[in-house]
Amino acid sequence: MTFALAASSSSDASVWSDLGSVVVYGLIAGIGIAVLFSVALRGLILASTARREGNGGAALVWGGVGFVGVLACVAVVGLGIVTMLHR
Amino acid sequence: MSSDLLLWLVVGAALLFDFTNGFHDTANVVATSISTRALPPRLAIAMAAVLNFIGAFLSLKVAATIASGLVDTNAITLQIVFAGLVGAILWNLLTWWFGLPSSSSHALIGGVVGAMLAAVGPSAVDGEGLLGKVVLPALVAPVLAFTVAGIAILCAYRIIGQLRPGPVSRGFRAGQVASGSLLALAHGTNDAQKTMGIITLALVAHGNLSADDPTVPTWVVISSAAAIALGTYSGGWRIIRTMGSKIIKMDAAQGFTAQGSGAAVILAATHVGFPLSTTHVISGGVVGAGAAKRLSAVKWGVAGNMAVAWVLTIPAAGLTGAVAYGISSAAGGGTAGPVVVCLILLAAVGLFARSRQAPPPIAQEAS
Repeated sequence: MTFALAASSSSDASVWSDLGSVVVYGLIAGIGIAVLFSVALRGLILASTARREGNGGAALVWGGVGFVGVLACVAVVGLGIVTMLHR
Repeated sequence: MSSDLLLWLVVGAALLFDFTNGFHDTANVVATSISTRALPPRLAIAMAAVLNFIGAFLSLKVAATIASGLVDTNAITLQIVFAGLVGAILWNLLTWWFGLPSSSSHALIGGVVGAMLAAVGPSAVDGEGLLGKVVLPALVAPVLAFTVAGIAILCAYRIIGQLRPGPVSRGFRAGQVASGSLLALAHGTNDAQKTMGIITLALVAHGNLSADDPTVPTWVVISSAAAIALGTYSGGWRIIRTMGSKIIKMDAAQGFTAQGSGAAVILAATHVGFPLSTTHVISGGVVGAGAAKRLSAVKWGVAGNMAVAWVLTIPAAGLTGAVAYGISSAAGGGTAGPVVVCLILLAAVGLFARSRQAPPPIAQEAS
């Protein structure tokens, strides 16, 4: 059994286009994951504080923010792996 | 028969290079997790080894670049591949000895290009491919990772605000387990493929595979994945110390953003098939995460030494590859040349090991 290798091209246009893609995807994914994780962390920490203070409404809201943030992080990581698998 | 022996020498050298790549670049993956105490050292290294192994199976785009985008595959011989690997291994060992996180990818590319120049001349090197697929990404990668990590850490600090530091640190440490895992996966995806590409080149040169449509056999994928995982598990503590604490004293948030940014940039590069240096990326991320907080937090002297090693990598590995090819050629070429190079290297390693042993006390020597 063998794995077929994709042809590699090195024309000027393709190199600059590929570099542009690396810059755009790298910026979006790198900053995006840090922002999403920080939002999730902030949500979870504030939810825990609100729960300790007996503030059920705020705990629910911040818990929701934290949960959505965690889900978004998992989705971004999953998307990265799936994209990798399909190349 | 002698040609088969030469092929196995080349495959052995390629796997040895892969092993050095693993322990040399372990630092990229685990240093930040260890220095912020997100994971105990042994567990961090074991996890990185397993994920490097898995990552090696995920994509073959970088292997395609190494195998067909930089040198004329019709002109390459096993002696050239062997000499290139010798150049890369020696440069990796030298930089590891000095604790410098230089690029194994560039050492490999430099070694092969140097040996090719010595053997065939400039016509066999794809200058455009080298510029577009190696030099440009090498300039862009650390700057991009620096920028991404810098912006990311500022965003993270802004969002976290004045929350209590205890839970914040614990949270980012937990995040580092995930970002470190992703980085290890990305490292395996990117780096193990370089060895696969080199062994594929050797198989093409030996006539086992077609030069027009080279394919990577399964045994090459499995052995390359195993070699890099074993190397990673061996750990490269000298470079881990440099990466983890000598550039900046980082907190958990900086560790998370450096790893996350590194993984994002490496995955983006793997996506388009650039043989990007994980070392350049994660080093850029570490410096960016430190400099964004406070410029003086970065030990610029250490960062400068690393930059010098980066600039020297391709020419130095290239020169070593060319010298190895020259010795091999002077010793008669064929299989005899690489065997002579192996014997010279073994003798050099023996002498070095002997010189490192403590001398006997003078009184004992006199009696």
